[in-house]
Amino acid sequence: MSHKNTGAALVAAAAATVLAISGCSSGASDTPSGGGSNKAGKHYKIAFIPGCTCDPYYSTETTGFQTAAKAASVTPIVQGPADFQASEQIPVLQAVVQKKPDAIVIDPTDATALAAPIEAAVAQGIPVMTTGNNVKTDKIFTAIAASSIQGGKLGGQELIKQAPQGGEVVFVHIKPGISSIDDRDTGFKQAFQGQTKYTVLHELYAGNDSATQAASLVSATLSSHPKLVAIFASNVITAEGAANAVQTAGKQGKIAVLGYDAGPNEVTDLRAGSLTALVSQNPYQIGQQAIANAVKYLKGDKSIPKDQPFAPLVITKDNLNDPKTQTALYK
Amino acid sequence: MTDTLTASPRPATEGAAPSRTRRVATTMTGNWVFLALVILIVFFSVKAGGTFFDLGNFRNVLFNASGTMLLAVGTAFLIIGGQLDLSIGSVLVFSEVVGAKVIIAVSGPAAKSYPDATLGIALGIVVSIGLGAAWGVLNGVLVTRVKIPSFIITLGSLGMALGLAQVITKGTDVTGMPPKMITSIGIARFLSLPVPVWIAAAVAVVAGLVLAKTRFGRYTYAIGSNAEAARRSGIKVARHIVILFTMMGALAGLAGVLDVARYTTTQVSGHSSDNLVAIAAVIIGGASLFGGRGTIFGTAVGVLIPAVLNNGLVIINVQPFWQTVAIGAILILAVAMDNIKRSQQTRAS
Repeated sequence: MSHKNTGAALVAAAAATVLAISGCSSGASDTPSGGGSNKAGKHYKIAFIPGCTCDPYYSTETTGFQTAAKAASVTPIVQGPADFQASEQIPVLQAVVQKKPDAIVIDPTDATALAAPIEAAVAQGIPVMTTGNNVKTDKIFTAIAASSIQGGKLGGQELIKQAPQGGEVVFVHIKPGISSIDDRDTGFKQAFQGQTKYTVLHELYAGNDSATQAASLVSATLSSHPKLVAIFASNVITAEGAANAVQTAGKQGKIAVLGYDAGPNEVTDLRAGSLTALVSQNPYQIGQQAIANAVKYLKGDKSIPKDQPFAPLVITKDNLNDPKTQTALYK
Repeated sequence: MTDTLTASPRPATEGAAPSRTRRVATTMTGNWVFLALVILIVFFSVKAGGTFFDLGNFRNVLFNASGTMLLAVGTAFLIIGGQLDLSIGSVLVFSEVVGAKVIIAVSGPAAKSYPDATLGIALGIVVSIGLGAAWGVLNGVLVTRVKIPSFIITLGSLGMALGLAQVITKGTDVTGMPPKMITSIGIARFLSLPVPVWIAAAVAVVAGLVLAKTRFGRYTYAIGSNAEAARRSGIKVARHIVILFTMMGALAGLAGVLDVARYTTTQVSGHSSDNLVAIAAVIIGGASLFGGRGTIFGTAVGVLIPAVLNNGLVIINVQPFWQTVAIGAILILAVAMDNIKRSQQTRAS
């Protein structure tokens, strides 16, 4: 009966699709032998779970992670959720735990929701560290991040430098609960404390983390607040949206617009003038530091500090072509 | 299984033959998808061994799929009945947000370690399910009275429910619930499976029985096949449709409770694609987008296939981007199978 054969053919096609996909795209990184042999020169298997696979910040951190892994003879595993959502990141974390890596590096998408799954991983004997965002548990062995509070403050100070005449300023947030963005907001407000020439407007919340949403929020603010002189966009995606909105409104060059992170589009915008400053967290370096710290911890070094923030770099047209700045750009 | 069906005695009247073919076709397609799920599990077990084929891993997969299962069951009833509900993610968020606030308000202060936690949690659950059902009633009444397609009506309620939730919470998530919520519901285990898995399984089993064995279920199929004929044969179509939407809303509210119990926090921006995931699960499971056909067993398989795929592809270290490709391909294959079934039924009748 032909319909039965067609049905069988379709199921076989489905199976073949999965086989083909897994065959031709397996990350070269997973060796069949489990974590670490007992020879001298132990090979560790370290996993990295970014917040999402959707942001140049994370692809740059991944590159730094994989480069450092290769240099240290570490087998890297990189798996991440498609969207910056805890409900997508948790199943990925749990599947990675099944692979029994020697250590896990994770950038948590939600400080509360990821606490229990991370503690479960640690309970199974896998040490966990965070990069970027924080998580509400003390079971991690270290947390490396570009200090978002410092980044917010340095960025705010740069905006004051660029708009010395005073006026209204606004911070483009994503949603409260993402610790790094909350910290940038705190630092931003610290920079403007006591600065009577400036009025800090209520934050804009681009909760879907989409450039289109950020652009429409910024456009609305530009129309309703003619005294707006500075905008602080808190990540790559909101920076793209803010730059677009400023350009469309024809206010390029008249408003100081700072974009956090230094992705390729943001650098282009900086050169073109629709962004007037960037703050780089140097994710490439963070990825490398993650491998260095994980290997140190696995080799028995228990003196690693629990919190390792470092100062981000403010990038403007003036220092864009410095060699030091060039390494801090995201690819 | 198919052998016993085809071996049943040929009915005397000619009119019964198409319905038997229809039954066989539905179960077989349900079984084809089940076969695909089995193939996937075998494939991942062979490729990854005990890393994948492990009770702890399956427990995680089922745990993470329990919310989607509830939503897919409600969506299955709606789709079989010829309707669509796009607002389920937003209704879930609204219900869980208000429910969480009730729990926190009634449970007492954290400093005194939540003296009324049990009462607070019970009340929060009732409020969450009740609010979900209320949105369902609104959806159902609008669809049946205003006579605009459910696609459009629920698109509107999607915006309203989510917007209201954001007004209530100012965009933040609600945290700070008593630990009892998590320890007695979220991570509690019964016979080594988490409570949310049991809840989802119980709902699926009851729903499957209602759909297959009761008059309510038969009326749902009838209305989905041909609403006008159902109305003329005396079925109270409008009332039935309102009940379907109310059930969906209540299930969304229950899924919200499980969401909070599992993650310790609400997820205000984390449910925007729940509607598509649920619809895809129901379609993969063998239901027809045109209504009148589908099973809860197929729906359950449709929920598990993406869940197993997501889990297995991470374990065998496939690049994350390929995972969405795989799931999209399987969805298309499932719809293609539906088309083949429909054309074969037109030939049979």
